[in-house]
Amino acid sequence: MWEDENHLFVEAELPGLEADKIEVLVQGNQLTLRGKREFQSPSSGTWHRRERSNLQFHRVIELSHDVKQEDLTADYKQGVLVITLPKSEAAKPIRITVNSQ
Amino acid sequence: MSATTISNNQPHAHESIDNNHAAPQNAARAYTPRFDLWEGDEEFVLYGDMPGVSPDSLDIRFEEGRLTIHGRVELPSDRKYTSAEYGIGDFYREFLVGESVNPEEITAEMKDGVVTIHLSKPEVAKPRRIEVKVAQ
Repeated sequence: MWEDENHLFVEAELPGLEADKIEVLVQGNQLTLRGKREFQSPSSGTWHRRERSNLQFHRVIELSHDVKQEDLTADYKQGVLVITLPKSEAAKPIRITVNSQ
Repeated sequence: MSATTISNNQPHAHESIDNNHAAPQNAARAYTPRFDLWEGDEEFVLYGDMPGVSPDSLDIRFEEGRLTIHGRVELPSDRKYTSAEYGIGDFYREFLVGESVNPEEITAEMKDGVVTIHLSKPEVAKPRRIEVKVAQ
């Protein structure tokens, strides 16, 4: 999770999922990620090594700032999900000009 | 066929340089990707999770019975992390491949951060069904 002045970004490694099998929900300052990796196991043959788990996840992440409920985007590329959440106006820093006397 | 036909050659990622496996220079800080290995009648298939690796930055080599898989991940710059549960970096893994694989016919594809490597068996290693004829 990282941020710039106007956005929060949440990134998750989710290799081998279909984009439409990933559910992203935002409610208040809670972000919910839910999904499942479906893998069709071959009917014959032998597994010699199974290190990759059946990926199934359900995470609720507390966001450090309030975010707008619109203009949220979630992009899935090369097995990495990046969610962009615009900070609400109240959460953005306000620059105060320093006056010299 | 025994499970040792294709075996892991990298019990610990950080040993790659100590073991003199001719690993890339930055392999010491490379992450070990998780792999599944399946064997069918015609081929072996390796499935590996390498999120963030594009097909162009994946380097798969086969040399003297050693299959090396190196995925490069560009490190993002100027990110001000507020929390980080996992590190980002290259992926590196080695497998020792026995004789029952045809080195000329290794193919690989990459989709959604998962690499699939097909290692086909030479004709002699494939099981054969022998047709039983009815004696006349």
